[in-house]
Amino acid sequence: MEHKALVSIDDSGKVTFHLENDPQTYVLEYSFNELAEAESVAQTNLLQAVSDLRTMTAVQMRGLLYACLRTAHPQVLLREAGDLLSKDSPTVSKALALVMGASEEEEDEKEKPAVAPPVAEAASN
Amino acid sequence: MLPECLHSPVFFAFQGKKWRLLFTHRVLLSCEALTGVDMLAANLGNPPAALVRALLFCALERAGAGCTIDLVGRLITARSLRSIRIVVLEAWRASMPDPKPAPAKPKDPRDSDVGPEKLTWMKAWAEAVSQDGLGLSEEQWLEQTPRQTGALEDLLLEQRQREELLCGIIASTMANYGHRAPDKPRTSESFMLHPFAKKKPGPVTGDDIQREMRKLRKA
Repeated sequence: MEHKALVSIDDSGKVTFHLENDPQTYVLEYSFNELAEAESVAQTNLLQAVSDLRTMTAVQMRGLLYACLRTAHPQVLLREAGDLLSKDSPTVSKALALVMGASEEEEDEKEKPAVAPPVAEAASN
Repeated sequence: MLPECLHSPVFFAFQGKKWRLLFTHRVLLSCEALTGVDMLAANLGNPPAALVRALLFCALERAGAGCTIDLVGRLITARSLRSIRIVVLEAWRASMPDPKPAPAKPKDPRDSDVGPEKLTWMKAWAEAVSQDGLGLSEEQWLEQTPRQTGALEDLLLEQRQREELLCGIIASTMANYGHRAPDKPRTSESFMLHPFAKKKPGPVTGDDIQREMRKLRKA
């Protein structure tokens, strides 16, 4: 099964994928607000999952997919995110990894971010 | 403001300005209301996304930065996440008291099953505003960080221990020289309700070895 053709990414970092025998096109997008709000629904720590995608649990993976789907598909349910993983876990995992990697790359490319990065300063004597 | 002078500074750049982050009791209560996380027992070793967002929002709000929680969430991009986590952790460390050594084990074996009491907001408030405690006003307490309150509690504990030690000296003298004196003399510290914390054994020095050698020679 060739997964490459099923997943694509645009310039803004949005990842689009579709599954076999499913006419729906799904769009994944990184949003920290959605991550924070999805945690209470998914009952898991999604920041931990984002920090290390390789070691995340099934619950975290489902929650992360749910959070990333919510921007483009506000009506999506946690159960539906789980169903997508059941249908084609490799494709969905690849799309998730792509959206997380793309979010970082997209930020790196910005020369002047609208908001200055945070700084921690030590006390100066 | 006083809290700003007492803590090591941690800044967050937002909308062209640097904002000083501190977690006072008021900020922690707001954060708990937003997230439902018990902020007195919160572990920032592995914080959930909702907690990081709420901590940053509440601290920025206290500093006077006009923002919404949604705007703060949008600031936390995949790239800035790491540095924001570090800043929030630095501000957390600056605002929280340093870990304390465990208190000495009680001499009475019946007390040994009782673990340290869990700190609740009610207990923290009562200790702060009670006249037998710190005697602060509610407003003073809300504007203090746990580190400030911890420093005052340390002083109060020292005062209590001094009083208890004096009472313990009298009680142990009476016990040790009374009609039914125990075989093993009672120490003054054994009568203290707030025993002194155990001192951590330091590295063995040359002086320590010489002292032990002298003891052996005398023996």
